[in-house]
Amino acid sequence: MTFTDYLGMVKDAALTTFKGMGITFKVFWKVQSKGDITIQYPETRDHLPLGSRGLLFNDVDDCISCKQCAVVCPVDCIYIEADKKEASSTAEFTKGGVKKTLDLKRFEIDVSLCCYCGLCSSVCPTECLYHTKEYEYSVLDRDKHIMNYMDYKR
Amino acid sequence: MTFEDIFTSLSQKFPQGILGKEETKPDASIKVDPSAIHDVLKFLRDELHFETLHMVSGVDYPALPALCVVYHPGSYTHKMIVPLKVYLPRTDEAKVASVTDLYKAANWHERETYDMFGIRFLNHPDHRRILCPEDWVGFPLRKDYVTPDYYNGMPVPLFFEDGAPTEGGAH
Amino acid sequence: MQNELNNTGTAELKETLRTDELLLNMGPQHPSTHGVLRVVVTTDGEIVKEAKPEIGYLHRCFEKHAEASDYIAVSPYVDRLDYLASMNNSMGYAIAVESMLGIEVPRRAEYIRVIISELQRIASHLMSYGTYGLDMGAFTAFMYGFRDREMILDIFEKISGARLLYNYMWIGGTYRDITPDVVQQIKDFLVYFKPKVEEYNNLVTYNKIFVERTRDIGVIDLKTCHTYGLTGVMLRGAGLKWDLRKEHPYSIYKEVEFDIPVGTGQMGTLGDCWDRHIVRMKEMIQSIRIIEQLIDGIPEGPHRAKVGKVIKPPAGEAYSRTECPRGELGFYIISDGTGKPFRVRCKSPCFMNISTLNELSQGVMVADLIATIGSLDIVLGEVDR
Repeated sequence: MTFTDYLGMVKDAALTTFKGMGITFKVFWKVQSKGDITIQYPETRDHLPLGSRGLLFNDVDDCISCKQCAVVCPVDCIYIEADKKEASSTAEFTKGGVKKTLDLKRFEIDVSLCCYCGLCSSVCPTECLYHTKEYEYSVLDRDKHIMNYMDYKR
Repeated sequence: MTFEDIFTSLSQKFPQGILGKEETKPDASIKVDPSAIHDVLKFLRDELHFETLHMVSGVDYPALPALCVVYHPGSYTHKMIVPLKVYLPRTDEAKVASVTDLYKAANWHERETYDMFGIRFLNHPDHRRILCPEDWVGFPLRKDYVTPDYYNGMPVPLFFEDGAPTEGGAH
Repeated sequence: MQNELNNTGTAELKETLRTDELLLNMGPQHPSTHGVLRVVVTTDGEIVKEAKPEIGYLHRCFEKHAEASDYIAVSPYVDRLDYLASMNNSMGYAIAVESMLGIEVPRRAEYIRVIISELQRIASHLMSYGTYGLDMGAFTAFMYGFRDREMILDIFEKISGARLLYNYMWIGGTYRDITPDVVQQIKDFLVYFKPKVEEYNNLVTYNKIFVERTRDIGVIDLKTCHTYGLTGVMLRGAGLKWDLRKEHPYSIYKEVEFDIPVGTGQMGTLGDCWDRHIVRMKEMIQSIRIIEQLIDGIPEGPHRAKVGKVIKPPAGEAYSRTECPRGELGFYIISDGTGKPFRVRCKSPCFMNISTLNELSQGVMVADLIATIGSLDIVLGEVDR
């Protein structure tokens, strides 16, 4: 390497570094004048769009216990138990007018296993199982992540 | 060059080595004798411009019964892939010659095939498990594989449905 | 005279100054190893003698899971292979199953798929740009890359409802339809992002310090590429004009115009780390070109073909490849005519990329080993599957 090459290298390094620093200062100035991009999470929350896939919720009053969600679930985290309805009991209908032929006994989802793929809510025929926008539900005991939706029965 | 051309030139060169075509839809493959696979791949690489080996994988057919090694050599010249299949007896002693000296890509893929199916590759430079731990017992992708309940004292599915171990037993 | 000194100096150093060999465990949690990769490095002083990657820390038995799941329930698992390019992954799987089923995907779905997967390619390359800067000690690049990736994630969140693992490309089409305000958002993003690529090149790519760190390091020539089965950016960085989107056009890539950027050895040897980096940067521009051609002409129609609830391909075999940001992702699927796949094999490009590490790192400095790993742009989720 000759001395001129060496000088050229120094010049290159200085030039490219100053170019980069120029970009940095441009952005720095933009943030100073227009406000920052980062959201301070617990204080301010981002607006979730429609159809966000958060915690699952099942409206058990509308559920016809067809078990399609449990079949399609890739991680098998939906537990359903249902009995045949007794003949003497009164007929129940969902909001959409579908007659319930089965008596739902248990509807639980282990949300710590759930992978939020959205397959279960997409196959649901009565649209009673859906994703809410809830995403903050950390607990200290793993058993508390087994959501029992029978508690929400009317 | 089409798949048919490759098949004819291969069966002319290796009348004993090529056992026939498998007309599966949508992709057909060529059945190769286990003893000839090294020579066939060498011929493909040197004469027919199959520069690269995309994949080596295993398949377990419990119904046949057979273990199968599938090679996917690829060509940038002909813009195609020709799957080659080698059927081996479905035992723990299934052996086939390694092609690591032809394609270095085969090194890790053959290790993975051994790891998952227990097919041994002769003359492989580094014949170890790759994805599973070294002391893992059994070959997971065989169809009759039973997941063990314990690995080194740790329960494998982490929690059991009713707290009772299943039929898998401990290692 | 200095040259002479250098040549004889290093040779003599190697002969006379032989130090004890040191076994160095890089990882599994080393910050510059892109995930849970462990590299067992044998060093002689500062010079690497051997670098053996130990993989399998993130092995989640994808292939075993797939054999026990329905065809449609495999796609959430496919998302988790290369978690930085989930859209491309699930598109590859969907194309493989569609070729077995022999169904035609609606034009609208094809348009949406290509636009979304090109956006995902930009996001993935931005990630690679950011983390490569981080490996080289430039933290700024990381922040810039993530700022723009965030905008793409916002678009994806709007269309699919998730931010990282979308499960958006379903067999036969897409999960949800695309709305006009999302189209507008993508257009706004393109206008914003177009000048940024040049800015990023000025910030990092042409920076003298970065160039000196990456040129002539980790050289992969075409022969190594072929014997190791390397694809994608590695192949193009080594100078071969090969892109599956051009050579084996799937989806609607036949109808769009774009160039294949290749490495030229501009800063040093052909196929060095810098060449691979610049190929990634140039690919982002090509992705923008593709989206710009398609975004205005999305045809009306259904966004998903009529596929039954239970997908049962006829018995057969298929091997389909798609061009993912990290290389050619192949899915080898064997069906026996039932609702569950008999065998799903994923040929992951990263698995091949990382297997070259030992050969690339013979006799290089430890710091250059980091540069080499960074330029391979591996995602351990895909290596271990």
